[in-house]
Amino acid sequence: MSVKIRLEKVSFRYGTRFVFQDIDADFHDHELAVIVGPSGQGKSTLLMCVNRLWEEIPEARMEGKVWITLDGRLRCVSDPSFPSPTLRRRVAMVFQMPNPLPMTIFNNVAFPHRIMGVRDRSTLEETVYTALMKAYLWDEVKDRLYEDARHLSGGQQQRLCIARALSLDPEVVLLDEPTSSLDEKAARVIENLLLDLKRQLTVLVVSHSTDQVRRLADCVFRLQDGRLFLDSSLSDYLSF
Amino acid sequence: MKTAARFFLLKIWAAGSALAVLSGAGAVVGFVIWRGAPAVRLSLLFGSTPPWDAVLGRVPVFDGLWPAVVGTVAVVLLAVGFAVPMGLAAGIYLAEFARGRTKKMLSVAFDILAGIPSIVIGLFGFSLSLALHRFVSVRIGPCLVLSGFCLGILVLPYLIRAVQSALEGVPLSLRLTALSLGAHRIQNLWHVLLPSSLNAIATGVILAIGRCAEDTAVILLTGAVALAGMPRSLLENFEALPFYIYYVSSQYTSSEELERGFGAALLLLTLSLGLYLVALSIRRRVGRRAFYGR
Amino acid sequence: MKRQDDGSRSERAARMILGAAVITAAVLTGAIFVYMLVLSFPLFTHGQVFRVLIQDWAPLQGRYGIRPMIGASLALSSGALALAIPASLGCAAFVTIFGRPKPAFFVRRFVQTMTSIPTVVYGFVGVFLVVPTVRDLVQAGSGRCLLSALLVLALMITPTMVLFFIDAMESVPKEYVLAASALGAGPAEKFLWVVLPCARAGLITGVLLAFGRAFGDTLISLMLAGNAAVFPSSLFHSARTLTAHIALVIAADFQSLEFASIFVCGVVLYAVNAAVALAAWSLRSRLLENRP
Repeated sequence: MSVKIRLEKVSFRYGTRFVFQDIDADFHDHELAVIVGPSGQGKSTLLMCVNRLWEEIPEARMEGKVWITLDGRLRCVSDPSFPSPTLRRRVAMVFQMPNPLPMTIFNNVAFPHRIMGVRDRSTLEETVYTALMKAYLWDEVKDRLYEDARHLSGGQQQRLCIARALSLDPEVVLLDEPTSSLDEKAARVIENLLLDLKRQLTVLVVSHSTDQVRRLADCVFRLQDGRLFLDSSLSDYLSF
Repeated sequence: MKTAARFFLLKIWAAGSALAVLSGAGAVVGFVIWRGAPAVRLSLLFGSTPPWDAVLGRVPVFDGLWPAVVGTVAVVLLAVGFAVPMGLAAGIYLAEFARGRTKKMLSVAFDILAGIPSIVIGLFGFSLSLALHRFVSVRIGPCLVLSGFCLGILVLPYLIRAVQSALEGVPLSLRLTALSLGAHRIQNLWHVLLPSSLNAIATGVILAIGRCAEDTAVILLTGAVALAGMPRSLLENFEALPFYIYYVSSQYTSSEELERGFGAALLLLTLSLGLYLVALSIRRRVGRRAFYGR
Repeated sequence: MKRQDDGSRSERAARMILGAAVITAAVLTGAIFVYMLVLSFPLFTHGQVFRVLIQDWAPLQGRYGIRPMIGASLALSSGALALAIPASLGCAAFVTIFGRPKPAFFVRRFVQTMTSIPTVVYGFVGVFLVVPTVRDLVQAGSGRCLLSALLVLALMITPTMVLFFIDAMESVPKEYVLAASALGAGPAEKFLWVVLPCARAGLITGVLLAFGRAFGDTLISLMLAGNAAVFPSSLFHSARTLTAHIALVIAADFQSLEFASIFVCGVVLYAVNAAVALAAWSLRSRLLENRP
């Protein structure tokens, strides 16, 4: 399996408080890696290092390098010369709490394309349809595309956010406890969706639930005390 | 027993204070309504001039408030036209781009600006006009555009702070959403941050309008006069409601003029309270920062 | 690839435009002060500037001292504070602790709304309601005196102070109040021994800003205090504040010492209010650091 994401001596701090230090790790193509560990130890922060979203948080500082294979070549995306909007389109992110923008369902999915300059209505419609299909949401919302997205249920909102992320055809998807705010049934739908996704791309999931790890993970990393390591105790359960 | 007595005394004091403040403000408002209400009729605005002729500016109004109302509207528009774009730009910069020491220094500077008494800003404008009169053109003196500029300076810090705190109040999750979808910062600002803080910004702008409309000290020194008629040009003197009220209080010559003064006070009070209520309805909770200083 | 370049380029452009606005606004703050200083320059060259602060106002004798105005401003604003602080504190205590929910909410809304009453309306009512009352009370003079201005000014600065006090009292951590309850403290003890001490910094900020407002207010003193340029020796005497002195400016000759002395008033007002703003700012930032 080829390396998709490589972290090289990645350290992170907020102001003077170190979150983690000198993390090295490889994540592979078509693999679903789960990151576990006690809360407050920087799991979400680690995801933000991959798509450089940390740059938008005041006082945050990252050191080290992040490499991602793009167009068949390992590239250093943590370098400031690599444009962060491009990076974030190819490395999509889904947050813990569903975060639809305050607009209609259609516009939520169309938004990232509109800001890239896509104006053509039929292209946008096609994009929205494909993305909602991928996220198993189309049938539930096809008659209410122009309703405010915040009227959807929690599980639907989260799938909308996944659809929105997928609509950009990313190569990596980062998910930060995507099911923790949902009930069991809605969570299962999303888990199945993730298993589907890893056939086409690389998936990194932060999770708290051991059961979920068991159902999903190809490999498990534990982030604890500022270090990241492969967790063999959980890997025992895994099926590969 | 001692505890109960202490509680009783404190309670009396608290209720008494509340009552005192309520009745003080009640007396002010009540007095203005009591004395001003009889003056409220169409001739308060237009005097003996036919209203339509006055509105269209065909016939000058000598014994009504119309020119002062128009003058106030004009000077407020000028002030807001200068201060809102400026405050918006500076507020956005402070919230979205300034960091660390720069941000601290700028915040201090705007706190100081907010604290400058309006008469000092008026004096600044007055002497500026004298300097311009002497060194640029003898046609320049205290005038409408100067008053507008100085009122703009007066409300600039409030606007900056309103915009800044509105933007900083956008929750982090919403702030990061568009960015995580590949928007760059300007797009995020334009498509997400500004629309979602629009209410708070509008509240700030309305409160700033109220502040411009009621301030007297600035226009006192920068071009408001008692008898200018309708404002005709940016470079001329003008009438304004708050100035008229001040003028009447010190130099009224007839009971009609005094009655008109009370009418003007009632009009200005209604305008101020009205603007405040509009701001309140836009945003149920007007933050403490909006009231900071005067 | 091209669009991303557009992104960083548009960010740079926006940064420049917005930065220009912010710098202009900040420079304006300093420029006003420098301008006041420069225009009071004739007094510097005459070596009079310090004498101006301690001399009396007697332009016919060539003395342009502003001591009476400084005295009047200080007397008026501290007098108004002395009256307004207990009332504001009581009012804030009523809203946060002692009042029942409905009246408390009403008082809060009422005080918030009060902030929108124009200053000139306060002054106008003062002229026709307070001044005659004071005149009848004293049985002498016109009634335009320190006392009349002080009463109205106290009312004018109250709402701001009340709102700051409410804010300070409400930001006292609930755990502290609960802890005091657990020790058997009643509402009075909680207020005196927990809320007041914990809210101290916020209360002081409110007082400082109210002082700045009182010191910088023009219309109320101009309309009610009588404007006699003599050092105030009694509450019932007519007095002229720094702000009113500026408002009554008649000279317009850059070379004249009379005109220059007016800018000294401006400098004093600016300096005092800037000091107040700085003190309030440092208190507030210390407050924020202490909060988790």
